[in-house]
Amino acid sequence: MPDVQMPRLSDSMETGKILRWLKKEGEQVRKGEPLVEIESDKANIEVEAYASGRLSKIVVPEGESAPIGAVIAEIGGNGGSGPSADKPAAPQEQAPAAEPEQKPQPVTAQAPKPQATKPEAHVVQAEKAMAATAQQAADSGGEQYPHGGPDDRTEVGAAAAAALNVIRRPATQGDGDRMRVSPVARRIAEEQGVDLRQVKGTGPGGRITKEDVETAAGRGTPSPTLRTRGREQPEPALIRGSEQPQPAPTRGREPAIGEVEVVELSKLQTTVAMRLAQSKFSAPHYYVTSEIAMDDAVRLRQMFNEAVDKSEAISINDLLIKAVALALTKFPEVNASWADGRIERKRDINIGIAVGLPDRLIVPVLKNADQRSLKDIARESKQLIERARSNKASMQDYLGNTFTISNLGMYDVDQFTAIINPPDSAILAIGSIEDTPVIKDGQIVPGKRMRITMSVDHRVIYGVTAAQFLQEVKRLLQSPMALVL
Amino acid sequence: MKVEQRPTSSTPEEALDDKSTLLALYREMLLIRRFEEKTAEMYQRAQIGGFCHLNIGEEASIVGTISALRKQDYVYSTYREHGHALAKGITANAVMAELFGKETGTSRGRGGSMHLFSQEHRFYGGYAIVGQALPIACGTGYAITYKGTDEVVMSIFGDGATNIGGFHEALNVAKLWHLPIVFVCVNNLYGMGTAVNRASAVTEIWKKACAYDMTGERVDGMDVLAVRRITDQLVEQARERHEPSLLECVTYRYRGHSMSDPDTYRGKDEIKEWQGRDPILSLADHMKGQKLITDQDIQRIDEEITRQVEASVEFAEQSPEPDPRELYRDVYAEGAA
Amino acid sequence: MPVLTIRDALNQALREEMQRDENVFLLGEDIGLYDGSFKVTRGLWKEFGDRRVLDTPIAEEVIIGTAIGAAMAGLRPVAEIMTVNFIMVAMDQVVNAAAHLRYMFGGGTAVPMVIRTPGGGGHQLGAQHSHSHENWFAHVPGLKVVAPGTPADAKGMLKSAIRDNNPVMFIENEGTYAVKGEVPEGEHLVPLDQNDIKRQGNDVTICAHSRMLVVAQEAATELEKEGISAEIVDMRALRPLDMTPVIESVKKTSRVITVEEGWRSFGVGSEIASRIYEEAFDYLDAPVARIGAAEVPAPYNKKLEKIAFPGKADVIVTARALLGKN
Repeated sequence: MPDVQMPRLSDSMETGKILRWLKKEGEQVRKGEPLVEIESDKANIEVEAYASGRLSKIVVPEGESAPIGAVIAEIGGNGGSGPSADKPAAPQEQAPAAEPEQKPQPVTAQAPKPQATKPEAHVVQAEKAMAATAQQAADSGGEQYPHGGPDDRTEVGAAAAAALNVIRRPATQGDGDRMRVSPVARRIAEEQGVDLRQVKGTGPGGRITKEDVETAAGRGTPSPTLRTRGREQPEPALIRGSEQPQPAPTRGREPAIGEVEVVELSKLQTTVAMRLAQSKFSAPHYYVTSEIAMDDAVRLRQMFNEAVDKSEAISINDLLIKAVALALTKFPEVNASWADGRIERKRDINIGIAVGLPDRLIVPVLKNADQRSLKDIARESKQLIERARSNKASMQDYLGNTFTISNLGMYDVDQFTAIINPPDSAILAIGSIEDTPVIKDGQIVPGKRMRITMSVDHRVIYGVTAAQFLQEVKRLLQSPMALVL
Repeated sequence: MKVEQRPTSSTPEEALDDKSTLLALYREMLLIRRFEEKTAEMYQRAQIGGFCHLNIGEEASIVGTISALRKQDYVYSTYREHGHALAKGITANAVMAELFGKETGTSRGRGGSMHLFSQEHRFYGGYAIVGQALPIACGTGYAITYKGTDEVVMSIFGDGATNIGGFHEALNVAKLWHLPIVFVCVNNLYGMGTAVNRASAVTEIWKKACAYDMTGERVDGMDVLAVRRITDQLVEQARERHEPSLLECVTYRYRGHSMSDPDTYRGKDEIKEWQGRDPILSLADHMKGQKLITDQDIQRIDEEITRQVEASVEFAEQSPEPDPRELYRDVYAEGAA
Repeated sequence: MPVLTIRDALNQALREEMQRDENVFLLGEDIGLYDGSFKVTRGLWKEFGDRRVLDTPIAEEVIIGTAIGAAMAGLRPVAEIMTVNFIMVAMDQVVNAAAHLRYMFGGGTAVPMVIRTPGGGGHQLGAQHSHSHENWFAHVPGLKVVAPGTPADAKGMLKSAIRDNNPVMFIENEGTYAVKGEVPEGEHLVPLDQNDIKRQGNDVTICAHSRMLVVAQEAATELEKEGISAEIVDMRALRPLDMTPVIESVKKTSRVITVEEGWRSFGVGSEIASRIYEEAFDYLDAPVARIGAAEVPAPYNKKLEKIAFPGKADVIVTARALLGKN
C-alpha cells in the first residue's frame, strides 16, 4: 500500500506543515493530481500524488506538522492508467495529437520582451515574474540551491589526513644523531642556556618543544637532568593511605653533582660537532693510504726557502695543497659533492686547510688553488691561518671548500684517518715525514717517507678513482718540480 | 551559402509504419517519462541529492534522435541526460543507482545525475558546463576519421549552449575537418531562466549552421516520428559522406530547469499549451488510429514500464554505498602505452 | 544594528553603489529578470532597468570581455560568474586581459571592475560544480582577490571593491549566503588588504576564510570545552595577502592550522605557511598544519563528499594533535 511521505521541498527544510488536503479521505486520487498543500520553510507548495488509488487514510491532518519522510497519508489499491502523469488534472480534456507542423514556431507569447525602452514596461514584466519570488523568505536560495546538510561529521576525514601525517611523523628516521627540535625551542634554549641534548622531547613525533625547553630552563640548573613528562614518581604523601613518607624509588642512577666536570660547548663547537657527526654517519667512508717518498720534496723546499725571504717561505703543507689541486684538475670527479641523490661537480678547486687549535677546529679555505703559484699559495695560506688563529677571519674565509687537507704531521702522528668535511667527498690526512730504511736498487738506504690517508665518500668516488687520484698526488710530490710551475 | 531544408514528411529508407518500430519508440519514451517522474519523487524523498534536471516533455526529441543511431555510435550529452542515457541502452537500474550515489551506478556513485557515463554503450557523458562537450565531441569525430571507421557522433545540447564560444569553435572544425557528427540542439525555449529570444540574436537555432556552410534542420520536437525521419537522413549523411549537421528539435520541458527551480519565469498557460501536444499521447493516438494498439495494450505496457522503474529503485536502494577507503580510486589511470 | 544574511548584505552593497555612482552596472546570467541564481541581485533589475542590470547569454568569455571593455571606457562593471566553476571558460579574459592590460599598456589604462563569483562544495553537486579557485587568482599579479566570510565584511568589501580601480575577484560562497550577522548601516567600507582576528585565543592559530571561517568557529567552540583556546584569523584579503595579524598570532601561539575549501596542494595554506616560515620561523613549535579538500575531483556520493571536504572534526583533531593530545 503506497504511503505518502512528507516530501523534501527545499534543502534546508526539516519539517513541513499541512496547510490543506485537496482530497478527502475515501476519495479516489490519480497519480499526478495535486493532493496536498504543504508549507515548507520557504514557500507554500502544491504537492502531487505519486500513486493512484483511494486516499484511504489521512495521517497528518491540516494544521499539523511532520518531519521529512514521515507518513502523512495512505493510498490503498493499485495504480491507475494513462501516461498522462504530467498533464494537468482534467483527463477528459486531452488535446488531440498535434499534427507535426512544417516549421513550428516556439511559443514566445509568454517570453518577456527585452530592451524595453520605458521603465514601466519592464517593471510590469518584473511584477509577473516576481510574484512568486516575493513569497519566498528573505534568505531563500536562488535556484533554491541544493545545500549540504549540517556539519555533523565527528570523525576526522580525508581533508585533514595529510596534515595529521606531518604532525605524527615519528622522530627518528635513520638520521641518527640529528635532534628534533622546534625552532622556537631552539631559540629559547640558546637564550636560556639550556643544553638540548639533555632535554627529552615530548612534542608530536618526539620533538623537543617550547614547553619542554621552558620546563627544563625553569629548573634553573646548568647540570643536565633527565625529565620525563608525566612519569615522575608521585610524591609519597599523595599515595593513598600512606602516612609515612617513603624514600623515592630510584629509576636509574643520576650522576651526582661534583663527580664530573661538565664543559659546555660554544656555539661553534656545537655546530662542528653536529656537522662532523652528520658527515660520519651519512657518508659511507672508506680509506686509501699511500706512502710517499718525500726526499725530493723536502730538498726542493729547502732550496726554495734558502732563496727567498723568511716571510715567503713555503711549507710542506703548501706543497701538498698544490699537489692536491693539480691532481684535482686531472680527477674532477673527486672535486664533487653528494647532493640529494645527485653528484655535483664543482667548477672551482678550493682547498680547506684544517687548523687545529686547542679549543676549536677551523677550516679556512684557499680558493682556486689550481690557478695559484706555489709562492701565492704559501702567502695566502699563511694569511688565512693567521686570520683564523686570531679570530679575524671572515665568513668568506670558511666558505666554498671542495676538498680538505688535515695535517697532523707536526705532532708526530705517522698516520691517521680524518672525517670528511662536508660538503666535500674526500679529505686527505697527512702524517709526519719519517726517516726510515728503504730499499733502493736492492740496497737498504735511508729515505724520507710520509703516509697520507684519504677518506672517501663511496657514494661519490669509487675505489679505483680514489686510488688513481692518490697515485697522481704521489707522483707530483715525488717529482716536485711540477709543483713549482 | 547553402541551407538545405528538407520537408519533414519525406520518406525515409526504413519504414516507420511497422508496429515493432513504433512500439519500441513508444516504450522508450514511456520509460523515460516514468523514470523521470520517479526521479522527482525520489529527489523529494532525499534519496537523490545535488542537482537534478528532468527530461519530462522532451521524450520525442530524445528517442527520435538516439534511436537512429547504431550501438557503436557515440552520444555526448549534457546534465539533462537521464533520458539520453536510457535511450542509448543504459539500464534503468544503473541510472537510478547512480542517482542514488551507489557503487553500482554508471559512474560508481562519483558522478551523480549530471555525470552519467557508459563505455559499453558509447554514452560519452553528461557535462555540467554548458557547451563544454561540443569540442570534445569533435575530438571523437576526428578519431573516427583518423581510424577510418564508420561510426557517427551525436552531440546533444540545449539552446543555451548555442551562444557560448565552444559551440562556434566546434561547428567550425566539424565542417572544416569533415567530421561525422550530428549536432542536436534540444531547444526547449529556455536557458535556465532566460528565454531564447533574450539570449540569442538568432532564435531559429538551425539557421546558425549556415555560418559554417553546414546542413541546418528544424523539426517539431514533440513528434517522435518526424524527429526520427530527419535524424535518419542526417545520420546517414554523417556516416556515408562525413557531412556534419545541426538539427534543432523544438520542444518543451514541463518542469523547471531543475528540481530546485521555482519556475516563475514561465506562465502556467504556456506550460499547459505544450502539455497539450504531449509526445507520448500523440504517438499513442497515432498508433490507435492505425489500429496497431488498444487501450488495454497501453495500460499493460504502462504497468510493465512502471514495474521496471520501481525495480530500479529497489535495485538502487539495495546497492552498496561506495567504500570511503576508495575515495582516491581512479583519480589517475594506471599503466602506460 | 541590523542583522542581515550575506546575501542581503551583498544586495544592499550593490544597491547603494548603483545609487551612488551612475557608472556602476551589473552583468551576468539570469541576474535581472530571474533575480539572480542566488538572489543576490534580487530587485535590482526592477529598480534600475535593462541598461544597468544586463542579462547575458550563457557566454562567460563575453561576460568578462564586455566588462573589461566597459571598464576601460570609464564604466564600473560588476560581472557575475554564476559559480566559480564556470570561470575557467573565461580564464583567458580574466588573466591575460583583465589582470594584464594596465601593465602591458604602460599604465595607459585601468580596468576598474569586479567579478563576483561563488565557489565551494559540499552540496553533492559533483566534480564540475564544487571548485574553489581563489588560490589561482591570488597567484596573478594585476588582480586583487578577497573572500569575505561575514555579512559585515561582505557588504564593506563589495563596496570597496566597486570603488577600487583594479580588477577585483570577489569570492563568495554557495554555502554561506544564508549566514547571518550584524551589518553597519550606510557607508560601511572594509579595506581590501587587511585580515582580521575574528576570535582571540592562546594555544593555536587557525587561518580560515569564506565558508571555512564558519567551520573554524564551530571547531573553536568545541575546542574551548577541552581547554584549548584557538585564535582565528580571517584571511579575507588574499591578494595582497595581509600576514600581519597571522605573524602576531604565531608569535603568541607557536602553532598554526590553515583550512581552506580548495585542494591542499598549492593552495592558499601553502602560501600562508611559506610566509610564516619566512617571517616567524623561530617562533614555530611545529610545522604549519594545512587542511584542504582531499585531492580528488569532488565525488557525488554524500558520504564520500563529506569526508573529502574539511569539516570541524578535521580542525578539532588537528588542533589536538598539534598540542600533543592525540
